[in-house]
Amino acid sequence: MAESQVDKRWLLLSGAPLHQNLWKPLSEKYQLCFVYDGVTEYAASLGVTVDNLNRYITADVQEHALTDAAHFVARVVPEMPRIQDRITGQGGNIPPDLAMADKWFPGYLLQKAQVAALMVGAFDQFLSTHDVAGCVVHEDVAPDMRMLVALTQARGLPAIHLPHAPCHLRVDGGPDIHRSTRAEWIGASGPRVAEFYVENGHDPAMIAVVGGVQWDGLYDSFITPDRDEARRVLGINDQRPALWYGATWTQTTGLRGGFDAELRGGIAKVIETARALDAWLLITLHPNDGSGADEMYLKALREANLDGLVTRFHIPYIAAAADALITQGPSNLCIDAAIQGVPACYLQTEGFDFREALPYRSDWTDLTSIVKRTLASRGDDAWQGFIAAYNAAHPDGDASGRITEWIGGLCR
Amino acid sequence: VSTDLTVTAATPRSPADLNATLYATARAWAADLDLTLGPIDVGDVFEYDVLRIFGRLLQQDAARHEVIGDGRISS
Repeated sequence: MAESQVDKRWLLLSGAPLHQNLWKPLSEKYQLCFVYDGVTEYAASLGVTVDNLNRYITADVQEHALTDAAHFVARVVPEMPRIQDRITGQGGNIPPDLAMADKWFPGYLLQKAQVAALMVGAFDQFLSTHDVAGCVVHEDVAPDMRMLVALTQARGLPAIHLPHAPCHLRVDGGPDIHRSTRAEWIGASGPRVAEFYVENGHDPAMIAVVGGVQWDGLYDSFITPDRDEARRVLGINDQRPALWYGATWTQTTGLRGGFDAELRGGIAKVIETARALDAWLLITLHPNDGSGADEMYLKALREANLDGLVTRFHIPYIAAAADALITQGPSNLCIDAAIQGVPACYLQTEGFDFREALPYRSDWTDLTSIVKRTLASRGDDAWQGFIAAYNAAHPDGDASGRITEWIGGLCR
Repeated sequence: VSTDLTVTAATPRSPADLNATLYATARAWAADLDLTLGPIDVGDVFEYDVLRIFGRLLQQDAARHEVIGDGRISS
């Protein structure tokens, strides 16, 4: 007999659409509550009913949270001279805005503390009335996810991190927030991802290699277009090769590489290669890039008089139409592309690399010859080994089933 | 073009130095202050946001002084 909804325990999820393939199978074992707002209707459209943590910010919770935030910042303000000394005492060239943090930092913290205190209050309210089995997050570096993990573990409940992207930081890549995770349990997409966390100090016994749920959809031929359809839809009206350039974005939790000059240099190299190979150039923006870079890429494409396009969307069509992928740095897009049969290469950047010989990599002096090698490798079996190193669910694409079963064992 | 090259040129930087400075400054603010909000360690929970804003300030400053990979600085 099917378990009724009310008999099921609750699981708190981030609600990131990256994990959407997990929602349905998890909802058969648990009742689900999301932290992210605005995803509830989307989940409903997939046939999954979810609750949202924000609904538990009652008037009472709000009143207490705002007061807690005020008390918190009141503790920070008298400490500002000491904080200021510590910041400026770190050596290097401290920019003026950072050297006078006392003028803006307390106000900045007040805003952050209010949001944090509201979440703490909502969490407590939720736990006082619901039987919670644990939480599952797709990252645990941003404040909301780190809080969810901390609050869950403080109650003695399991917190599970399913890293949404393999981290390509090299051992010698310097300090980085992504090296560590606060969740006790890690569900790594593949052996190379597990290796990364072990290398950075996580207990191997607390890591399971379970596959990457974000890639499950790429194994469904029903929802991926074929090459002819994709090229027709994208207006690629001849048989010349199509190069797909996956652009990157600037995330200032790490300061590496050449910043804007590196981004401008990357597109210049790619244009040079597309011209040398008489290829179409399909440029896709990083989903988190809100910098308006699309205009920069479009201008570069037009000035080079190349056939092509710039888009943030339509990735399945781009992947089906492309002959090879070039990314700016070792992007996760290389894995997406390889799963769809598109060989990939990347322009190297400071501190990052894949842990496998593939994808091919360019030191910026040889991109055209690297792209030629990449094009020639299409269909090579070596790509299967690369994919499996990062997605243990390859070639079946059933990570959601594996992960649901694993979570079921941890969150009883 | 930087107008204060005499100051910055005295302390050559590379991107790796910048990253080290970022992490040192971002961790410095909460060190030993024992700041909590309910059951959470605020220094830990806000690490990401503080890195982002300190990183942005350091990056903007580096762009003004055009940091070159081998540690030299030019205008």
